[in-house]
Amino acid sequence: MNDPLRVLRAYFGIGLLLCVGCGSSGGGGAPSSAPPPEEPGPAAPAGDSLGFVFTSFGFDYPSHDEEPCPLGWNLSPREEQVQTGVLPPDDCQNPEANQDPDFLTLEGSGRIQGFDLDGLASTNGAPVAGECRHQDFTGPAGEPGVDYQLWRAIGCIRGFQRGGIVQNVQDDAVINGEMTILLELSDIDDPRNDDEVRVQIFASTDSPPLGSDGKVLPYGSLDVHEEARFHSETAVGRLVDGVLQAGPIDLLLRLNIQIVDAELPLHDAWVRVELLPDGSARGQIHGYWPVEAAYEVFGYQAGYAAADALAYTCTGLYAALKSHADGGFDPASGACSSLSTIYQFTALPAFVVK
Amino acid sequence: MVDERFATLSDLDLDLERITASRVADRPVKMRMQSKRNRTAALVLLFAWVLGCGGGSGGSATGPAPGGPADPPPGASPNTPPDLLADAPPVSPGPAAMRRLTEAQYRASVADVLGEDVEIGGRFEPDSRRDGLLAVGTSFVSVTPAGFEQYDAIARSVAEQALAPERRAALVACPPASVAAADDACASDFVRRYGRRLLRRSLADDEIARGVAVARETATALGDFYAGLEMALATLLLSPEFLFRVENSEPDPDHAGRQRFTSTAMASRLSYLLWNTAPDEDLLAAGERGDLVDDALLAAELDRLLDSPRLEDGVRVFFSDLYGFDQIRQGLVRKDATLFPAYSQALIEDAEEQTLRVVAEHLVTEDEDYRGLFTTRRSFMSRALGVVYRVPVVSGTGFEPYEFPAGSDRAGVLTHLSLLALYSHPGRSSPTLRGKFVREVLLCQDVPPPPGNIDFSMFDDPASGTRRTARDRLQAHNDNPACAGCHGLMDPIGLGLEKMDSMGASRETENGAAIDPSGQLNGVAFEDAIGLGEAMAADELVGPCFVRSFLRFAVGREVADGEGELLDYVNQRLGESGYRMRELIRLIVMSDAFRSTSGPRLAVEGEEAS
Repeated sequence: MNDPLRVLRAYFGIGLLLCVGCGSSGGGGAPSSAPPPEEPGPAAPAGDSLGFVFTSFGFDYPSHDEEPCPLGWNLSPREEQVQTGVLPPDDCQNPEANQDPDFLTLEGSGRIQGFDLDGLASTNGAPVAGECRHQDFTGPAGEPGVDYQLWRAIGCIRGFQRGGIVQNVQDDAVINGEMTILLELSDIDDPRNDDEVRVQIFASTDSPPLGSDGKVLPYGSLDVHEEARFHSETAVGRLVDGVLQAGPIDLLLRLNIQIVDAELPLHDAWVRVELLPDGSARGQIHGYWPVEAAYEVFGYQAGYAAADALAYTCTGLYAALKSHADGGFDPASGACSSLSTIYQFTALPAFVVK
Repeated sequence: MVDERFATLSDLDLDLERITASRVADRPVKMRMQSKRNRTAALVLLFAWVLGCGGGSGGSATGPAPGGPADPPPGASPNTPPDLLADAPPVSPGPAAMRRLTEAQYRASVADVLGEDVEIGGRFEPDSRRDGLLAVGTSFVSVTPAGFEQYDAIARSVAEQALAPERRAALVACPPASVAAADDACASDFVRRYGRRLLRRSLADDEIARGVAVARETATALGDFYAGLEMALATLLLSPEFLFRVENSEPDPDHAGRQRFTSTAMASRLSYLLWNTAPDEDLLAAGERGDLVDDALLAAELDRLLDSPRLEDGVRVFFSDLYGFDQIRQGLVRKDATLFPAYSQALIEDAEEQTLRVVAEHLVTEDEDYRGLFTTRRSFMSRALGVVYRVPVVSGTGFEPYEFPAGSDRAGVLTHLSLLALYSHPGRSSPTLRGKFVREVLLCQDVPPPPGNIDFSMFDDPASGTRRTARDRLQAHNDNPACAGCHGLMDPIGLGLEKMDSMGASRETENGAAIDPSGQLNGVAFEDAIGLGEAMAADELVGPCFVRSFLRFAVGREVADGEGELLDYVNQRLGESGYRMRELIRLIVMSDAFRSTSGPRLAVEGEEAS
């Protein structure tokens, strides 16, 4: 830890944040189409850097004008047993052994802040070439094209809802060291508007410092994960009215939550960061989560216990994840292997130690 | 006086022998606690009686070795000239008293003699602060019955660990004839060697014989040679000459009518002052050779101690005592968890460590002027501290060097979390407490206690009304002549630190109002905490107070009337060369204030040992 060659790359510019506080934070709706990918720029950024540690992290929730799950929630195995008298088998390690034709997915429309990852305003109609059939959400102001297929697959599972078990577990995980996530914005010349800002996301095995109230304390120093594969690529984006949008990048997060010890990869992801007047930040990470990686977490590892607690069947979940995949299109099979996923986060200032 | 004192300690040893002998009989069965308590109480009465008689100088069981002082040890630094104080004014030294080992000294002594891996549990008798220093309080404390029981439990535990099967080979030089029986010859060697180290002097033959008797009786009763050594070792650890620093004196042949500390006593005085532990073998040998009453040989040994990395231990203890950091270790520095969620015991202990590291680096490693402690930007940082100071810390564990950048609102120890949090209230900062600390501890000035009929209502609800900042509220004192006299001494200093809150974190406002951190120190106006540090570094009282405090720490008592000229002399010397720690130690240690005594301190009627 005392290696003198280690360099503290990101430091927190207090003066910079004071300037952030001078103005209002930008709102910034979802772009109607994905910004053109940019190649990472040259190294040696000249401007200031901002580091953050996530204080909450979990699936984002669309809003709906109509009941999104008109047929109700999926049932847990035990609930099915109550209704049918038969306890569904534990098929989590072999999810294709059975079928769950009653598994419910979210089919209606909805609004959510997010990116149009594929640049297409997709509907449930015939897919265009290179696309798997799916139905986009819209942005808060009705912007078309927001991709979020994971939610369609899991949106009618009770345990995944806002305030449910998954959200609570994920929020806890980012503050108790089970899933520490760091964010670094660098090369910032103007904290409100800057045409070229670099963004990188890191997993960390450090726990954020907590206060006596159990909340994360700002200005902690946290190491990035020692394995470089848990450091995202560097994205270059634009800061407009205090809102940064950057991408695409591939990133890999580490989670070690209760019985789950897994990795969370997202590919072709975009990041939206809103710098708030008090120095904190909030935003989204929006990318594609491979079906197998998602099922690794909720099926293979969390297993029957999670299915029972969150209320789904592994067979139904796996089938839903596969059928709703919209990323990683394989021209040969015409199938997709990953799901567009929107994570939301809040973050506090921190020193990212590389 | 000498004979009377020695007789007292001999009586005490005999009583200990009876106690330990009875323990042997008790060991296989359940301890008769009531009986033991009675014996402990009797022992404590003896302690109190010894202290009440005045403590201090007395005859030594060992004298200088025949043949005079030996040659200086090889490798000794020549830095201290034997005639360092040749032109110093005469000193009429103060009295001497037995000083109880502090917990830190007890721990360090045991670690040095018996091994660093020996764990010491239990609760020690609390140290007592007197005249601003624990070091002074050590000569006013005794051992309570409950405290003696703790010492007893600790001694047994230490002895058991030290002589555990895996460690005994390193500790016991002679293999016993049988592990199941007593072996007087081997026990004698053990008691002689470890008794000498623990009691900081060679044991007389009859003392060794008593220890061997204890070992024999136990070994025979339990059929275990090492159990016998355990009991003998525990007995040594319970000896008043281990628990207390019994520093004997003798007539000074160079000054008729004056008592000087014996060479053996000087070994302990030097070791506990500079290293905060028992003398090592070289120092003890020098003491027993009589070297330490010789100017040249004392100077040589002093330089050896000054050159050791362990000097840092002694310097840290002095500053920890001076600053009142014992309150931190006792968990007495607390903050309102609602207002200061970042505050924790771990944080304040890191803050203490930060300050002591800065002191040690500044004064020991860099050998810089003491006054620079108030302006230095060099510091150390842990990750917990980095959260509050809002600075990055690369090292995941421990501390790393850190320098506050130019333009920072921090420089000098007064801007450290440790002192800021220690001299604040749980829910708000206190310019008064901070200013009082500066006046009393760093400038050696007295601030009278407050009257008992103060109206605190405006402080209890600071957010109400128009007095939103501490400056606003304290202005009320200036409007009240009964308060203004004392607060005028303290508040203008402490207001300079107001941009650091009760925990020590930086802030710009209080209750929404901008904070004005200007103030003044002894007529010197300053703009902020940086300016306060600069004013402290330039203040003519700071250096002399440092000298006075160190002398008090070194001799464990208040400065005697006859030592005033010495202080003036030392200040003149240091004023010319800079107030450097090593030079201060040299001047104090080589002085008659440290080497001589007026005799035992007499008990003051009506004054009780705490």
